[in-house]
Amino acid sequence: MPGIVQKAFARKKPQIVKETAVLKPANGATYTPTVPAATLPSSPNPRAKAAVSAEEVPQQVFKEVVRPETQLPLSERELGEEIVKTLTATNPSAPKNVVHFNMRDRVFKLDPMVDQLAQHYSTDGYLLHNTSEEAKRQLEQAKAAEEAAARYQTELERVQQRREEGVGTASVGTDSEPPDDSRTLRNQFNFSDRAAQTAVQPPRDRGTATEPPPTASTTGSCSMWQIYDAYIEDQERQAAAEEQSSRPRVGGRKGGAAGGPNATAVDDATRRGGGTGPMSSAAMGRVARVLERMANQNTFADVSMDFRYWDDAADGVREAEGTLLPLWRFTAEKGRHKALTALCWSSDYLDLFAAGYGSYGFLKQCSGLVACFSLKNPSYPEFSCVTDSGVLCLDLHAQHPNLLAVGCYDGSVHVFDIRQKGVRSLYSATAQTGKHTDPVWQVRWAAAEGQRGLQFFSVSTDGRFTLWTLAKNELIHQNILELHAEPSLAADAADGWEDTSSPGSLAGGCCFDFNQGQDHLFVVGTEEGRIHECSTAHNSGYLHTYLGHHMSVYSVRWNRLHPRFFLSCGADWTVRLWDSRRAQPVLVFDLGSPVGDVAWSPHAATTFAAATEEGKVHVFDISQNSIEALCEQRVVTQGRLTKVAFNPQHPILLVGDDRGCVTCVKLSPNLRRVSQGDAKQTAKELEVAKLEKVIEVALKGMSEAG
Amino acid sequence: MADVDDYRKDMEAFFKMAKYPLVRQTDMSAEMREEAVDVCVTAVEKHQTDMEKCTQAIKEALDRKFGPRWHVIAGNYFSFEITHECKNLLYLSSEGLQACLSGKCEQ
Repeated sequence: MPGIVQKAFARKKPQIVKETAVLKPANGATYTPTVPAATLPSSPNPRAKAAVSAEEVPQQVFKEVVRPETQLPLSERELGEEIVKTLTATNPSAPKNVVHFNMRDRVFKLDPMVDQLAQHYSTDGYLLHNTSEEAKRQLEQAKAAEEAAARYQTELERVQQRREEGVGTASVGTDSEPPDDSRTLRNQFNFSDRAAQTAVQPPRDRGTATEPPPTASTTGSCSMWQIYDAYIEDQERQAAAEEQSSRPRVGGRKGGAAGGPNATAVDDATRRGGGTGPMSSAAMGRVARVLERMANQNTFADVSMDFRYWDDAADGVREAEGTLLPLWRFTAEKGRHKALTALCWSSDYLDLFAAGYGSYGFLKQCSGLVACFSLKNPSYPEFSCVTDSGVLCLDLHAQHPNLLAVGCYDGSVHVFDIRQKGVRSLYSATAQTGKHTDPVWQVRWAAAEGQRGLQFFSVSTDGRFTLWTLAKNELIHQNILELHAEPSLAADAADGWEDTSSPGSLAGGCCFDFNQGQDHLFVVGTEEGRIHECSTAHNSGYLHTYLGHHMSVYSVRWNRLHPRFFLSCGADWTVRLWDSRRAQPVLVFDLGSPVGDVAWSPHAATTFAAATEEGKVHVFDISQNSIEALCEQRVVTQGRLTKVAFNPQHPILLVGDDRGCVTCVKLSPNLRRVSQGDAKQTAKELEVAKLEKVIEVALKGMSEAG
Repeated sequence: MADVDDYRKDMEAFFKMAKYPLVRQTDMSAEMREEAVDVCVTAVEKHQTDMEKCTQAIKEALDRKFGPRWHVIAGNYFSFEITHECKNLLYLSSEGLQACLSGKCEQ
């Protein structure tokens, strides 16, 4: 409220009077009931009642009716009697007959004016009228206080502004205090910038101690006679050197101290030179080899025992399931970073096999290695020879177990004699002597000796199927067959697309295998996925073409016992079993990964093994289960398997991987079930019959499905 | 007297013979040794009499060629026990009289 200054009084609570109803008129006028209030509660007078109730609501007046003992007891009739009450402005208790003695008239005179004011209740208020003295004083005080506050505020702002302009007050301490007008700044130039107050980084020393250069201590003395002696000694040495003029002088004249070790080194050399004779002799070599084998057999005694005697006992209980037991691992030092690309058992020596190392990567070609290992010495190859180009295939001759034919990535073929160590190769095909222009993917010795000498076949992706004859000094080549890509088939496959290759273009051969029964008959797998049956007797074309693989064929193998069936595997994850009389495969197995190689068991006609790039070996016996593998086992943890080969006699399997490692695994009894021959039928006949039975069932299933 | 004459004759023959520098001890590489021997021989020829200048010359040349901190001793009679950086020692006799020892070492 403007003009009214509130005084710091506690507000008075409204007083509640029980016995008498106190009426406090809002307008401040005094109201005097004509009838004593004590009688009101029981009074039927509506007006009085209304007055009381009007007071009751804001003041929370009692509800209890208190009757004083002195109250007049009234009958019902008297209570019901109507009493008229009038509100007058006269005070009933005021005297009506107040007289004053009038000195002038000497008479008492009635004073007509009597104070009619009756005060029933009074209280001091805390409101002041704004025109009153007290209010004026208070207003002045408030105004002075307000002005002081405003001055303080403006001063504060002024100082703040000045500080922002970079002319802050003298000390940091004054920041929190209000500026003081009365006090002048002590030093108005000693202002400090806040940015200068950042923490100072403590300096740090950091040092590194390097290795001191190696030092040596020398002691000696020099005098005339020592110099003389040194020269004389040198002269004598020179004379001695000149005497042995045949021996070239060792460069530089060495002092006495250096002469000592020099002389002993020469002595060492001569001693060693004298000692090489017996150490390098053939007899010593043989003894050393025997000792090495004995040491190896002692080291791998448990493996040798497993190889001979271990049979998985669980195979007696379970049906159609088997396991592989890893035996030895063969690695060649020089073939460590190469992939194993070829494996071949010797047919004469059952513990000997040849391994070829190279690389399948077009961009990662390296030199190749041929190594022959014996199971008797797994730690070091019996024979090893490095070739210029990576080896991709090799074959040991069946009748001449020392002859090894090798095909390389650069298209050359070589023949090694593994008896002769250190000799590079007996024969090599070079660019002049008709080597292949693409990698040679397979070589195989001809079963029968030709009229002109030993012969072997090779196939390459340049499309040539070549017969090599070992003449006296050289390899003579003869192209047996050129693998033509058949335009009609190509057009069929391309389905309306123009055949871009000319009619004369060649198909790349990837693998081949000769039939066991008919020497001239062979199948060739190509890069396009087709398999052709050909004969060495005709070089005009193919006898049959088998369609099935969608990607390049990695390996084809005729059954070792049955002359009609062959297996193929390829990059399209499948292994296919073919009947040479049918254009469609009889059985197809999807192994879930590119299949590097497949091999038939030499004894059982229905057993074969496949090696996949996942690192798994799958062994099938289709007489026991023609849908799934009996055994699917991971042989190497890392790397892809490239080749697999059955031993001709023992139940072991060689598996090569692309890390240059050959693992030998043993087949559990379930994986090498072979029919036992009797008087009526030989084992081979029984096996052939078993395979035919399986095929018959499969064909029946196909015809029903088809 | 005959003995003395013999001795003198002997020594003359010796000086005639001992015209070439003789490396008595070194662990330097071949090229470095060649260069260092060259330096020593030139310095000794140049300062036949003044050994101080001779050593100064050798030291300066070697410091220039192979980096600083070479220590050179030259003279007819001395003995030594030194610690040197490996591959940095040359001890040679020159012209049958003076011997130079140069070593590189950490001070």
